[in-house]
Amino acid sequence: MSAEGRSFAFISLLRDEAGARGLSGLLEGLARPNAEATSVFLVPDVRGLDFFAASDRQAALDRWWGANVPGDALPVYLLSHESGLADWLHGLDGVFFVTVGDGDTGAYPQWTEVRSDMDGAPLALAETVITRYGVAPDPGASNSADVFDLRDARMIARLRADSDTTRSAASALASAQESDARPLPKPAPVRPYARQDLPPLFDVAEPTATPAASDPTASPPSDPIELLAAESERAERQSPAWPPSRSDWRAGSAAPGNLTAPRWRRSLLPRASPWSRGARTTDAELAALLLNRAPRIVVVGSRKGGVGKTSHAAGMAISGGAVLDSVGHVAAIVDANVANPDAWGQLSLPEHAATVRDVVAALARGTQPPSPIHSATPALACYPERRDGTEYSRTDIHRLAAHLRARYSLVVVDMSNRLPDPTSGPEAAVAAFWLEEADALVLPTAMSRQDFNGVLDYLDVRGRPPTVVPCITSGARRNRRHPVTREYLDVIASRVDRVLEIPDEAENVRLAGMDGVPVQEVSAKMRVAYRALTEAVARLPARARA
Amino acid sequence: MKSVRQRLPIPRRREDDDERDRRTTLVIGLVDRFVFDLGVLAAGGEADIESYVAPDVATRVRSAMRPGLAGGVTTRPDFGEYAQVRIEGELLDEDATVRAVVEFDDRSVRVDAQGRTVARMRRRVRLLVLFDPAVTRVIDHRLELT
Repeated sequence: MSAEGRSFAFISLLRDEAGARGLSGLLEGLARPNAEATSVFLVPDVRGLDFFAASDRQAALDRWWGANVPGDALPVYLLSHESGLADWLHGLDGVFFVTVGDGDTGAYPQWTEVRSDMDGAPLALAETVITRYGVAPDPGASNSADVFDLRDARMIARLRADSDTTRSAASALASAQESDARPLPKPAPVRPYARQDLPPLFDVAEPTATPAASDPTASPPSDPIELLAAESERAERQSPAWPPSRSDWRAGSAAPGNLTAPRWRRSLLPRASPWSRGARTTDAELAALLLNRAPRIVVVGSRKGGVGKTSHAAGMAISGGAVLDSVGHVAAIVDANVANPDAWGQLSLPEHAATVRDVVAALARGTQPPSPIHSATPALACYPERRDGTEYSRTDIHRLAAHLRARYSLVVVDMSNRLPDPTSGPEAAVAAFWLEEADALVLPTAMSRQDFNGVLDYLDVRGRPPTVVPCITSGARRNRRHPVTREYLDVIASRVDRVLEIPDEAENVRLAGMDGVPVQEVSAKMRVAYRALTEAVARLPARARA
Repeated sequence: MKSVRQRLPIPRRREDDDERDRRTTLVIGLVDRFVFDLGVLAAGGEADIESYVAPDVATRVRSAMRPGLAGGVTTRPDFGEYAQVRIEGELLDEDATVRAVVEFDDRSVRVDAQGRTVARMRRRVRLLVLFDPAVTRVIDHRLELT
């Protein structure tokens, strides 16, 4: 990771206040003053699991966050293991270092686990953080920054060994000595590692010169393959360059805001709400659901505009693609909004992508269709539409649907704002043809009388497939609980297979569009919601066909 | 193992098949060489990985493995006779990088200076290798133990 232009917010969340403040003070005191990376070292009043889970403190934490954490800083959380903590870390941006005891290893597979007991947690975390964010020992090394001097990690390791607080101090010291034996690219003045340099928290003996590696009782060093795996894990977390899926391999696809991880947003911090508790179905289970019922064409329609139809289609396709990618399958999104094609606006696709028209024309000629462009998100082929007016016959759509069924396990079709009708113009006709091919129908709605009426009109269409209605939940409680709202929802629920609540984040969705960020990265809530929508669709019964 | 694309019923031309075979051979050759060299390095031997691995990646590999070579305990690598290789990506797309996923059983043995067995490995190794579009160099890798 290059530290240039990067800033870090090291947030000490150890429950014990003395330990948390001692750790933060130690790191702040050891930070290199001439580092290119700017850093802040913070200790909030609310720490441990409460920092994420205490709903009654979130407002205060929001204010604290806004006042202390720079907007462009990468948060680096320093924690000790607590029961239930791992569940709260899923989907959060930032880097997490968690101390774990012998019985808790493996609880944080995505993050860095630091073996330590409670007493040794501050020193163990300090050593690991300094090693991770120390000056790169080799030019071009990708897993270091320049916030600290690596020699300080050696000092911490010695302190840990001497204070007999950890069993891994010996190997840590050996590792530190190893790195110290190589020339550092940015030599720093030798720091006298005197006890008085440390915060008073760490009441330990003066470091001795005896390297712990020579201790006959020390554990043997890890084998090289294991070390290589650990290095890969670090690189995986820190380097966005490794493509997570086939969709990222294509040259030239690394457009700004396209492949890079979403920028830190305060809104990603979890709240005590049902949206932040994570999906109940694992990726493997959801993938199996999709595959067992595949091939599946899901059309997303609406009679009325402005209900988030395209966002729902994109979110569902992205979510489905990510799940299918784990089992080697691919999803596709098709823009059938012939009058106002916009799916690629949600996916940051390049303008030269092969369009639906190109594919339909090739299929009509009997030639091989052009390869689709892939989204920056995993395993998602995209079929955008031209902006000039176009229309299709029933045969065109049937041929295209067959083509897509043969290639993708999930096909999401974003349709126009028209009631399907083969005789009411090209947009309504295309909607009708796609509805004939569909295995499932998704009808997004917001909580307004006009939107509900639009859904009811759509439900009157004859021969429609199994249907899910995602309902954007109003932020206003009066609207949510209004008798008319409840009545409409009851009627709709009685006529469809599932009604699903979607959080109202319209402004953030628009902002994501402006930033070129995939729509499901708008917030953790939206990720969970789109995944739940994908799961609801996957659980629909098969369409009965004549 | 077939890639996703190979499962697709896309009409093929003979020259495409020839080119795909040629590039598949290149991938397999590089994968074979890379895995073998990892074993050599794990045993404390010297391997010329810089000749086909990107410099920063080669440096990372050597740096990561170096601490494990200290302390008098050495590795006798045994990666088995067979590996499962899955090639992902469009081999006919000359502008796209190619990814290979290699899985094999690691039954290496760690021995001390007296030749006594310290540890026997029984684990599955999953190695992800990213090649440049010409399939001449390894430009990144990830190694996972399961």
